[in-house]
Amino acid sequence: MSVRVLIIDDSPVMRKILEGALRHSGLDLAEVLHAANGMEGLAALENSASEDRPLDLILCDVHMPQMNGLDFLLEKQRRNLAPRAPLVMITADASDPQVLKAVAAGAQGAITKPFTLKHIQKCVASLLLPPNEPAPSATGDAHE
Amino acid sequence: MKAGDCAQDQRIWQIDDIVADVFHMLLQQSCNVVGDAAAAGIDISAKVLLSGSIEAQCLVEFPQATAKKLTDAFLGCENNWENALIEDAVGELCNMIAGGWKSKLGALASASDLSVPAISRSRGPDRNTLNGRHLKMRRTYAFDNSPFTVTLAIRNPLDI
Repeated sequence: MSVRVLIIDDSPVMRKILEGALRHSGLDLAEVLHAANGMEGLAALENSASEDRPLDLILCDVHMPQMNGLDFLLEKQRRNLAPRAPLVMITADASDPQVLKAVAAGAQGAITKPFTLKHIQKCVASLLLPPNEPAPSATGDAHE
Repeated sequence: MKAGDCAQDQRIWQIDDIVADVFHMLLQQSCNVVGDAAAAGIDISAKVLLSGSIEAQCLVEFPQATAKKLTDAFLGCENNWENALIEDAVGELCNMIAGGWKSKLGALASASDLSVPAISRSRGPDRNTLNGRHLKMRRTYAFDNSPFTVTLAIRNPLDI
């Protein structure tokens, strides 16, 4: 299964770390899109919809300037953008009320930083792979 | 309570484990305590504030060479990174350390919010911005022979 992923985070370093983790997780990545905040994320979803190239997964930071992760989720739902793409919140603060609100509002999960490659692999596999299909093998030696 | 006593209170100061976890989980690198004196030649600092039921701050301070090495490690290769990217790497590390610390502080901390990292390249006489009575702990660590300093400060730690 070849997947398209959108990573939304105001930190370019964290976006690259997440992309690297996805690439090492064994997923067949067709494309990874980057956005620096919720507004850019919505624009990426609009573009994907207009080009008929649906996204398969969205990783989204919680605290960002201009539009945070929770507001992005609510606006995405209001506009009915990428309704089938699971959304996973990324946070350094596991007890952040914004994360709990996002999960209650429909986010499919949350990953706390720091994470390991296994965390990412397990999360992605649970959301993207059919039941009973084994998770892909991690490649490389980085981000175990 | 004196700061020295508080430093022994593992409910409050679990910073060594938190820093080690960040490096181990994300980078598969060890990061060890060097001492309590600040690292020499600080060029970049990042600060995250914890506000609400608990007021605290997490400050990380990096020499430029260590910050560059951290960015290399985060991004998986050596390069002449732009300063903005190097500062972002330091800010992300501070964010993860502060988040890990908050999770160790107990139920009261869950009603507090973390700020986004504030980056600075100027070194002031005292970067602790907490007012009133508070306790502070400073540790210097090294990964790959590169030192950096973490300072935690907290108000009213007896309330935890």
